[in-house]
Amino acid sequence: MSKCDIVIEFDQADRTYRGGETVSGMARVQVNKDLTSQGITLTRYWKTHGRGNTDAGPKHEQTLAGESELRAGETFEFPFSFQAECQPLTYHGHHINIDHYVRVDVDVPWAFDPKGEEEYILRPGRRPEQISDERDEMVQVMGQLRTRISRWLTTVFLVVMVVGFAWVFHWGPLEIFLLGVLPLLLLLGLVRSFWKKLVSSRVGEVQVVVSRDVVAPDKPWSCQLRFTPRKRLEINGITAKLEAREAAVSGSGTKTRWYRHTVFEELYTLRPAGTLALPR
Amino acid sequence: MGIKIATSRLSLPYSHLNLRRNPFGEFSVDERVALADVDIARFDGFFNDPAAVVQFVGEKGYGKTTHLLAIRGRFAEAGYVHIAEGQRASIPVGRPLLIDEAQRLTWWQQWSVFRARVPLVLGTHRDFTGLLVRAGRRVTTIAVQNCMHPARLARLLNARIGWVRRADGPVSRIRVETAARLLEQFGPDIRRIQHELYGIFQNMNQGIQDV
Repeated sequence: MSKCDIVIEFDQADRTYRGGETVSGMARVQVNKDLTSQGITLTRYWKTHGRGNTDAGPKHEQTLAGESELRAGETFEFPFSFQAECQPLTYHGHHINIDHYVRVDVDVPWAFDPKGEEEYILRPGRRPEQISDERDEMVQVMGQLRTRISRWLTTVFLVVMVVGFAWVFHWGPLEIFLLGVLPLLLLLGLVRSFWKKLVSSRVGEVQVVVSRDVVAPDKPWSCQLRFTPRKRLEINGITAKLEAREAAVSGSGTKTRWYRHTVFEELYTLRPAGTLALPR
Repeated sequence: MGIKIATSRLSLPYSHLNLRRNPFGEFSVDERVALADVDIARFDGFFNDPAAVVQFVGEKGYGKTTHLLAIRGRFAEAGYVHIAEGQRASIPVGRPLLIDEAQRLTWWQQWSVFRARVPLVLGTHRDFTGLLVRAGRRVTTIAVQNCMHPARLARLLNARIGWVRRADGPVSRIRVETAARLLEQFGPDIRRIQHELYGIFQNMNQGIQDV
């Protein structure tokens, strides 16, 4: 049997609070064995869990009881309350999770401290002070021209060429690298760079104007795409992609591993295929 | 120690599995030490001999670091260093002295550390027996991949599940047969096995079931 059983209960049955609201509840400590406690503390903090390395926020402590003798059979109740943080919000994703915790520790000298820990859910509430949402953000983007020929098809064609040369001229691994792979990579780089310049020369500078940095759930959010074509231009279409992605890193050094997961992805057609006329 | 929880579990993470988080996610160093399935008591007398060396040899993901961290937790005066790739690390003072990724020691560090009159614990990809014996050391080599078998693997994996249990009641368990299959598929690379199981638990939407 453990020295103490610790139960943490929240006033809200669903344990859901909005940023800035008062989180309140009761911590119950039931003593199973006589012990001397150097204090009982409540700590609140957030921490991450999932595939990536763990992270945690600052720990905010409050003392529930000072040094005391706890007798077996006694039960102590400690009401608690504090103002919920405004961020980070509770998030349960694929690789990354963020949760807020309340932990109660009974400090027992020279022994493992009995403790109890419970999560509560933090939803959007008062705007965090760190987020001002007063600026328009100008984002420079490069126009992306999509070729009608599949990139894969081009790559396969080039690889077949290299393999063909290697077979005809009996190249060894070094020759395959120097005469085949290296020129191929250079060629692809040049084509890509030329393509970008070509697009840039036709559409000019492309800007995305984001009206707001912060948006509440279910509220509209808008952005503007601005550019002035220098010539009449046939386009396959203009699309915008809204994407939310998790990126977690675990380990370090040679043990480092990256994990990515797309949580949300939606493609919006801003302009269908057709001709972009010059501005008058 | 028993922990009771309030009745409401709506939206709490992994509550449908009676867990607090995915048991095969990344754990903190303290948690890894607490869960290490290593018989460290057998080293207690061993480190009274300043010439003693224990080297844990194996590929990455096989559990060398966990062994070292468990030993560090046992000995209050231990000094520990993990040598990151491409970096030089300064060697700490400690008894025993634990060096993780010891194959990255510089030539000079090898010479001085191997000859220091302090018991050593090495985690390494390379077997240093020859060098250590020439330095007058008494060497014990533990090939970590040989320490793994289905029953132990199942025990290790189920310990992680138990660690993140939310409340009394059933939780999913890893069967020994599954552990045997995982060992066959991934070898003793625990990290890859955990990676595989993370995905299984992440998609376990139909509730508690044994794997």
